Amino acid sequence: MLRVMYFEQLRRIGPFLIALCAMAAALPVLSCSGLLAGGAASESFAVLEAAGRVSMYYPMLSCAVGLIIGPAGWQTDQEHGHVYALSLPIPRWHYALLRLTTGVLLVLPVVAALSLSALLTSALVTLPPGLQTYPLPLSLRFAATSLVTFSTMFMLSSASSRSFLIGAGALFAAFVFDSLFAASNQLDYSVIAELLFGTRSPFSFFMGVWTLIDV
Amino acid sequence: MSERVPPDAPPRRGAPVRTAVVSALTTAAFVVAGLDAHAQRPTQYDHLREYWATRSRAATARWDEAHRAADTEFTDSVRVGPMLFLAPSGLAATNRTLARLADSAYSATWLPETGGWIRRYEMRERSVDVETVAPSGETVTHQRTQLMLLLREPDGRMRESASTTATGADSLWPIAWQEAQWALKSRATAQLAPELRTWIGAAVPVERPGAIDWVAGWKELVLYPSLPARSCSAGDVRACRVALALVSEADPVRNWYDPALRQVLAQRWLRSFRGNERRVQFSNRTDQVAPVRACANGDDDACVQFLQDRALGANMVEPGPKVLRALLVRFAFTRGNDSSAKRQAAYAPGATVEERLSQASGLPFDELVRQFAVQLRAPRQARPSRVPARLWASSLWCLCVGALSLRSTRWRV
Repeated sequence: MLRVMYFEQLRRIGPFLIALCAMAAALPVLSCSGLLAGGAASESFAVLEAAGRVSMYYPMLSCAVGLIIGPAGWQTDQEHGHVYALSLPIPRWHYALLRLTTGVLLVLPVVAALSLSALLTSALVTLPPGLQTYPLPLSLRFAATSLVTFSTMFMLSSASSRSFLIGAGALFAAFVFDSLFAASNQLDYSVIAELLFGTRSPFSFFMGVWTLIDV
Repeated sequence: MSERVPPDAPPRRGAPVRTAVVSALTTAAFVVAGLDAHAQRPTQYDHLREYWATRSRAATARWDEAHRAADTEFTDSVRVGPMLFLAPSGLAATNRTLARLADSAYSATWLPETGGWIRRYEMRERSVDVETVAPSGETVTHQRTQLMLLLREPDGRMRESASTTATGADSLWPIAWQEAQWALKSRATAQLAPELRTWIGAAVPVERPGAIDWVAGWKELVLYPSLPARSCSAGDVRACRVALALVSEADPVRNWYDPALRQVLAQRWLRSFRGNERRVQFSNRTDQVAPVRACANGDDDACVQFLQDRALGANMVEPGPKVLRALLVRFAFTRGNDSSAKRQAAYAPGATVEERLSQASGLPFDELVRQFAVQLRAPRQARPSRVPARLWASSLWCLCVGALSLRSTRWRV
């Protein structure tokens, strides 16, 4: 059943998946394009700056992975009123687990494309002294954020309208309360943002240095 | 058991729209948060560090509290000429310093009346994660000294001038002098020994360097285009002495740089020049850009000419970043506990920079530089250790969220 679900979902998002893989493979190459083209390697600052210009696209791409693959797992069921799922002699959790596994399997090619590209690019470039390539931490960061985004989107897509409204309402109320609290206490920062992106949060991976090249 | 989707089931319109809206909103939140974070670019590291530091401080230190304290707590005062400084009675030493400061610094006749106060207080600050530069869970307590002065401007208006600084017990003096000097707009010179002040090249708060400061120092060193800086970052302690501008050099342009690095300096100069091109067009420097362009294109003779020209690149000729010197001063002056030795190191005349730093730290200078170099390299070695903790957090999140999506007693119709 997993195989059938996998190919059904692959057919649905195949073109998007190819595009995501291509973008994932292109980013490390773009961040070192000057060095790969045989440019001067003396200026560490310029090399770092060129890599930095591309670095903002890594988290955006990992968000896109979650955005596209997460909801796609439930799209067929939602379009057809869950008739197919209800006709199966398996409990819901089993069915949802199959959908979840299928999604994770579809995230992996994008992560693999980025990892391979990062490793190859790192092997090919000659960096100025003091700079290093970090293909493994970058790949781990990308894999983690893609999976975090994917799982979040998967959960949101699996929820009923009522659950979604309760969740969204709670979130909205929290943001309003946060703004009012900050305004009344003359704070210029958001407590929620700190909780979301603080060190112990799973979303903290979105922060930090998203770059293949660093000191 | 059929494994195909029934072809005759009517498609539902509402669910995909809702999913798309939820997806778009969530993704937009992630993207905005990611863009707003600034952390994606290592070159914006310092900016982000300041950003979070400001946010952390805003939560714990507020001026209105300071004002209330000034009204109620201060019982002692020091009057020097027309100036009145209010201070808590417990800070006798601070009062004396302030009196000395006022004696020496107050000379401008356009300040007919000045009042102010100084206080020392504890400030709680969240420590900052080295990698994400976001506040971590831990809280650290700093001793801070706040100096607030009321200045009367020449036109008669009163202006409030405040400066706050973190202090170690005996490292206060250089900061107090410099900041008070700034606050009083006096022409009096700072009391720090001239050779030390010239060598540092900037005002240095003598505060123990934190992990973020070491990371920033390391980045500056690695990115600095000079041979001593590169050798120092590669682990050569003797090169670190050169990079700290402690070894004089007869021909720095040729000995601190190779042709490629001289070219890099020209490229950096041109980059900053381009930013100011409109402004510079009105000056007579436009014609002088030709040798810089020639240098950037690989003409090494032009590079030497450019870097020896006082009007162009001579001020770029440094063996290492200034930040490194400031960091060494902070490192040396926050080691050890001999406060009289530190004061002597900061103010006593007739000693070299090496002797002063050695005296302040209580270490032989070579050992001080060695320990400094080790400390400087530490953040780089510590960097990968942050990844596993976040991986665990992410995995846990995926498991929890995955489990939540599995948990249901009915179909989501």
